[in-house]
Amino acid sequence: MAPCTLRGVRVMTTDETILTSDERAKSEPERLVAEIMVEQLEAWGVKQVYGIPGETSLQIVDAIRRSKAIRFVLVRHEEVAAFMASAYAKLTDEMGVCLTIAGPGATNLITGLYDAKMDHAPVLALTGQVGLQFLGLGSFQEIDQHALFEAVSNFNEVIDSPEQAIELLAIAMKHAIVERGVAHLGVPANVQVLTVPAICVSKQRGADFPTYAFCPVPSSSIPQQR
Amino acid sequence: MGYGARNQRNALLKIAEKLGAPIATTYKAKGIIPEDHRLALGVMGSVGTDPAKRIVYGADLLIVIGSSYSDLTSIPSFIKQVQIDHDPMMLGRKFPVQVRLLADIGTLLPTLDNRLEEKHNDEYSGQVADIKTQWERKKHDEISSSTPPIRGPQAMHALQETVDSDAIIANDVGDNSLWFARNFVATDQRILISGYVASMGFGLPAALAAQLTYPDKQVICTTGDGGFTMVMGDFVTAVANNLPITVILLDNAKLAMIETEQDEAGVPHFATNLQKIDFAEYANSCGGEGFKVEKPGELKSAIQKALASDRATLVDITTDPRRRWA
Repeated sequence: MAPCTLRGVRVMTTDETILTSDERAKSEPERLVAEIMVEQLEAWGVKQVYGIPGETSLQIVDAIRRSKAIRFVLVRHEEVAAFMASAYAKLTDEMGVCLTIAGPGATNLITGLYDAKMDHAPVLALTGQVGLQFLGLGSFQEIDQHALFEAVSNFNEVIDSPEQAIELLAIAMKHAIVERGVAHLGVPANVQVLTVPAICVSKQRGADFPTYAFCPVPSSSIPQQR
Repeated sequence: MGYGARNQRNALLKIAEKLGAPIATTYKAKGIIPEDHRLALGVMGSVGTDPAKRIVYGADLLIVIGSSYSDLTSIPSFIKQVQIDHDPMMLGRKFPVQVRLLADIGTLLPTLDNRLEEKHNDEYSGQVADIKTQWERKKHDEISSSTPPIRGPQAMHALQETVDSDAIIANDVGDNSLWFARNFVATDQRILISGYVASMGFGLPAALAAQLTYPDKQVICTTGDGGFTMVMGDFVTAVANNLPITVILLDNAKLAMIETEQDEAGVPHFATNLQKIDFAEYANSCGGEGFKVEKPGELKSAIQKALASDRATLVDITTDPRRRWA
């Protein structure tokens, strides 16, 4: 039996299971980061996302548009989107979600997110970010978004690569829900349209969707027991 | 009783009735128990009622459940208390508390109930009833005038008489929310507030989220001209999404709570006058329905019409710019 190192809770203990996962991965349709994020939101029971679309969040907004389960609610000011997410969480004891562009969209969220933080309302704040290739260059609508959300959030990360996308989103939502606070995930515009490797998408036995996914070490690189 | 005690209405009432203990709530917990219950005192603290203040401050023992001891709730430190919370960080949060019980409230309450004995103190019950009667009389005086300008308590009384018992009411921040917390008698309504941050502009977004989530419930936003104007562009979001919310807007053309704060600080009123806007007209121009009310006698029918409408409505109530206690 080959040991397998995984980032995550579940440990696969048989070669057979690894092979099955590999085989399943082969038949996995390719999905973009934006698409798989929205599928994951659906699986976690999200029904509404409040926000305003824009260049740096277009792909996620479009994935929500195509979603049959999630309704995108357009507002006139992102502060209202954040208040709505906070109020939704207070009303239902479930996680509220808001989605904005980078830069001024993100900064407009802050007051509403503090309402969620200080009143212990679970909220996921998704923000677009300028493409990774533009970071640090003083690009259009580029701000230090990580620093901006650091104080208000319990969890504050950027999806830098497609391999991280599923796990980071799951962990972010867990932080929001378990710690009853604000989780922030920035998603650079170029990452939103990258393909998530199929191997990273693994279906829970008996379930339809990767509600907790992981990237197993490919079985070929696991040292065989002698 | 604080927000942490939500969902425990029956267990809480059972214990309170057993002990003959009157119940005050924090602002955030308003509505957890019906405020027309004989033991209900209303909200405690800066936006609270006289009975809550008088009876809490006169008590021998306080049982505090699920409260974060906000300064604005003003739970007195000099009275013996038993505190129950599921979060250890909340126990003795502001000052030492004699007895601290760390427990899931829903699990603890039945156990507590089993170990408590029935208690009757007719003299105390009489005192509590007297204080409540005096308060009802005071509230009655606050609403009895039929001459304009309309006073906050009158608007809240009219709302109380017309709103559904299971409505969702989102409060903004300011004198408008003070009147709501203090004067509106909640029975079964869910109430949403911006608690610790107390940000103006919370009411309308909260009402939007509530109506989207519960399309069949009556959803109200109580707000003032100050808070509403911070977010008013999104009234059209209600129209665009066919959300039949009702905005109850207390318009005194002022940041009235700030003026009270200026009074308390001994500085003159300054930068607190708000330019008048015709909010009813604004609601109409958004494609919703606006109702303008300037006389106390018109309040009830205007609110009824607004609540009954299947469009987004706004009741623009011209109110007395002075905060007046009867």
